[in-house]
Amino acid sequence: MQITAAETSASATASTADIVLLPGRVALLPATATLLVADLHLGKAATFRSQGMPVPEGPAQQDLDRLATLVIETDARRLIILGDLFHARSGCTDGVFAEFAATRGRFAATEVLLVAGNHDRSVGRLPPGLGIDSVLRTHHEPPFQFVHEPGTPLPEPDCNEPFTVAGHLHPTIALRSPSGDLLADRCFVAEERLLVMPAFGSFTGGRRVAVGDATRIWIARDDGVVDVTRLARPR
Amino acid sequence: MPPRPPPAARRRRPGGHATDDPWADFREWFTGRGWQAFPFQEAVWEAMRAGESGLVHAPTGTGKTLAAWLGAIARLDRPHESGVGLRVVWVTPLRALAADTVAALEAPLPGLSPPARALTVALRTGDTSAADRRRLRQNWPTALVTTPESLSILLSLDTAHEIFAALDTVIVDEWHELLSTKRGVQTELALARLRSLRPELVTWGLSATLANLGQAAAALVGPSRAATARLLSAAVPRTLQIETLIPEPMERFPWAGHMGMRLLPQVLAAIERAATSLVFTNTRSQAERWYDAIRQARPDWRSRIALHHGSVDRELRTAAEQGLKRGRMKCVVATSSLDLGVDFGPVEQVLQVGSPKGIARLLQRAGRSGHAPGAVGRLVCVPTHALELIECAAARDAAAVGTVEAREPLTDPLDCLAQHLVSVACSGGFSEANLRAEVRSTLAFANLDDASWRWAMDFAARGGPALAAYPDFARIKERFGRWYVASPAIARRHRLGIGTIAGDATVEVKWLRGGRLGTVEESFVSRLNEGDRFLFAGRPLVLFRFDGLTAWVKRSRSQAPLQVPRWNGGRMPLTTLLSDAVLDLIRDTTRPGARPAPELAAVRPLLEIQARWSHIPNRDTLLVERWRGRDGDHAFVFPFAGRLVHEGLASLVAWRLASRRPSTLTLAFNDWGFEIAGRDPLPDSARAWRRLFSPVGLLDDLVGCLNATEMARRHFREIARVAGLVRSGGRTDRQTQASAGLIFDVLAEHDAGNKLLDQARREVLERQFEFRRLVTAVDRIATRDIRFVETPRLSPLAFPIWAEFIQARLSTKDWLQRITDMAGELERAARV
Repeated sequence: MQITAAETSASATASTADIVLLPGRVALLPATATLLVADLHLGKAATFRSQGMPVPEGPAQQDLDRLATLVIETDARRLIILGDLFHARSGCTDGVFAEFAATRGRFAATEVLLVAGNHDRSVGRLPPGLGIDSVLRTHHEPPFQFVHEPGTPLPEPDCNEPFTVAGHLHPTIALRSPSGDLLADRCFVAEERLLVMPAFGSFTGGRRVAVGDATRIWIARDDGVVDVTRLARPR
Repeated sequence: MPPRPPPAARRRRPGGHATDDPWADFREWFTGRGWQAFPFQEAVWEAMRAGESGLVHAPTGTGKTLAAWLGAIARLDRPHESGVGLRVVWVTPLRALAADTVAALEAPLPGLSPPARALTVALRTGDTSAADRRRLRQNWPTALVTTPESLSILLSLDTAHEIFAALDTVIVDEWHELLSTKRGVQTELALARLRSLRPELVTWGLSATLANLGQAAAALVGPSRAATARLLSAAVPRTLQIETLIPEPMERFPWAGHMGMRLLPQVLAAIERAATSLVFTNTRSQAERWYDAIRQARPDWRSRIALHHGSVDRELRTAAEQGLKRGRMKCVVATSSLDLGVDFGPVEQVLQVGSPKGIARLLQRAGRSGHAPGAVGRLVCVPTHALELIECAAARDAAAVGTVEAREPLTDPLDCLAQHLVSVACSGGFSEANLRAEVRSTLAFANLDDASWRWAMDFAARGGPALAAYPDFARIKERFGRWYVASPAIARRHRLGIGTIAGDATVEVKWLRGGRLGTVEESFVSRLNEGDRFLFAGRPLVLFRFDGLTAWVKRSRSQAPLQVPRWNGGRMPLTTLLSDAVLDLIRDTTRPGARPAPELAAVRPLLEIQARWSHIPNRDTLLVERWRGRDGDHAFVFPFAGRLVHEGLASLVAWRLASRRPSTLTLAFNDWGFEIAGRDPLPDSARAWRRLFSPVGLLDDLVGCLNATEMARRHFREIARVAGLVRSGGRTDRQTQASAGLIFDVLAEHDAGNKLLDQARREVLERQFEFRRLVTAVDRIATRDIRFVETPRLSPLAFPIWAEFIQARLSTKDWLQRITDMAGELERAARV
């Protein structure tokens, strides 16, 4: 499985790699013009407010704008959301759904597929009119398997073990230089047959990943994506 | 619980004696123990009975508790309309101390005459079970021992006015500990509330000696009553012996770091000669290391020594305290976790590992020894590197003269105010004008401006202007001119949040297969990646997973080097008083023909090397040394202003250097000076350095470097908790978990006018860098000579700073450049 990082959407669509990682914490499958995104956690701020904690909504609208721009720039025929699109039932106000529906309208020609995550399940049935074409637990499309949680078993045993693309973990990495510089950020994590996406939503936390000898790491930021495998591996 | 006395009986004198001496009963109790009441104790009783408020200041173990408690009992004698309910509230800063305090208050009761004998004392802290709280609500004791947090929770109940309807007296124990903290502000607000409910309330604080006692009293009783507050000193003569261990022979090296352990044989000998010793260290990691070393050296003491610091599990700490009380301990190694609390009679001596860093602290710790009748307090300083000998000598000299530091109260912490507004709204609501007047009656908010008040109200009601678009959010609502809490659910969650005002964000360390190891600072764990290894409670561990609340660990079997947690707590800066004393001592020691004290005689050869290679700093000259190492340029600057100010100055200078040319500089600092190191050449003239310390644009540049180093963001956690922006503790709902840093980012971008961000910046300046002191230091530098010296080697004063390694980094490069630099570094390291 060839994974590469690209600086612009244009170079990504032209790439011959299997998976292209893009600035903005998304990935593109050029062969099928499929854009991958995970863990938006829309309505998280509203969830906080419903519990009496005063957090403004700001980031969600920006995240949605960013998403629409990326879909349009990459000319994606299909958008696969790898789970946790919405954060919690208590935060899913009409406004949150309306904002999503409006954004979705900006790329009406693109098919939208949601692989439901643990948060989505707690939200329950989504209202009609969001423009999500299908909601699945996992999506198997050789050579890929799209899931929310890495380690989700396959619906049926498969002789060719697929390459899994997942979200859920919100991976982050802390890079330390010998002289003591410390840089911590979100990242893509790839193992031999697994790619874990960074959380797309700005208002989400992260979890430090364990780095093994075969792990590959890319720092994933709004303004860039850089392979830091060599810096991240244990020394 | 014994039955409460009938109202009729309670109207009699405490002793029930119809004599002219109102204190006969108390005196008798003292006599029965072979003691005699001190004049100051009687003065407190008189003042309390007369309805006066005030502050008692004295070293620990001089009978402050009995003075205030018997005074409060004497006040019970006044007839009371309701005759039932809570009469005395006793606030203690640490809930770990609360149980001891209950025991101390109950102790004299059986020896007093009948009405007092039947008084009841109970406990309510964050640890009190729900069942016990229910029982309390049904039957309030005469006296309740509680913490600032628990008192605030009681005041937020809608029955608060009933609970406190009969309250006569509030005693705040260890007021000096609360004074310059947010919990102190929480206490001030609670006291103002209680005074509104009970205008005749008598308030007393018990405090160690401070330089600003008048201010401490004003914070306690409110500035408008400050003039009438009594300041009573327990002028009890206590003999204190302070000595310093001096290494024999005094090696020229090491100048930093390890000398403390070399003194182990002398420390063991000191412990040997006393029945019970307390060994105080300044940091938890030091405590762990000393505990381990003593145990290894003396296996025969193994069952009689213990470790006591804030991260050790509660049960183990309690066992250590019990052992101390019963005299079963040979020695307990502790941090500031044992600074407070009831006295352990059997403790004969205190060993202070490392400089005490302040005179008040030296006295506090020394005061933990020698409480057996006729005993002498005894403190042995154990320097951990050569230069600490000077600090020990300076502290001893200052203590002998009787000077101590001040503790500055906080002003206008809006997070505390925001919390208080919701609390009062929970307890039956408030009218805005009345509450504003009440809040302004505290010292903390005496000068609160209208704009800040309105902002806090708006924040409590609507979450601030940025949330105006979300009418579904409201914590308090107005009805007929009064503000009430918006819903019972919000009140419930708010009360849960009140308990979390205290201190550092810590996470629990738990075994993956079950069982708890203790706590460690979140900032440490969040730097680790899964699979990283570290040392904790003497065990090598590997981090399996960190979920934001708990660090799940497994035992590590690998032999690779471990990281040691660096707990931030306890790294107190050297006080101004002490650093000036240090500079003067250095000057006096290096004068020709000087005849210094033994500590200084020992360190004199080192100072002579300093004079030869570089220069001896003094109050009139700022010393700047530059040393070119293989890895780049190093500059060492010695303002002698304490480690926090040095961190600020180092960041400031680094920021000013780096804003001229993008670069990454590493910083290190200790109490005497700081280091800046970088790959590019650093300024090489006194004039260039003077420009870097210019007072012009100081605040802007500091805020600039703050943004670069993200300190305000990290600091925001505490503010966010107090103001109710995030929750903490075991009951956190998973769906509302977010790091304060994340919320800081959201607010900074979408609610830039949020005053809590300003507060975070202000507080981080004051707390991280001691801003006021930093300004003084910069002004002082402006009038001083700058002496720039190129040194061929690390000088004796520079070495300890260099040995601190990297404390911080400041970079004006963007993230991509930093990654490129890191890769470059890695390559170079691989080639070597």
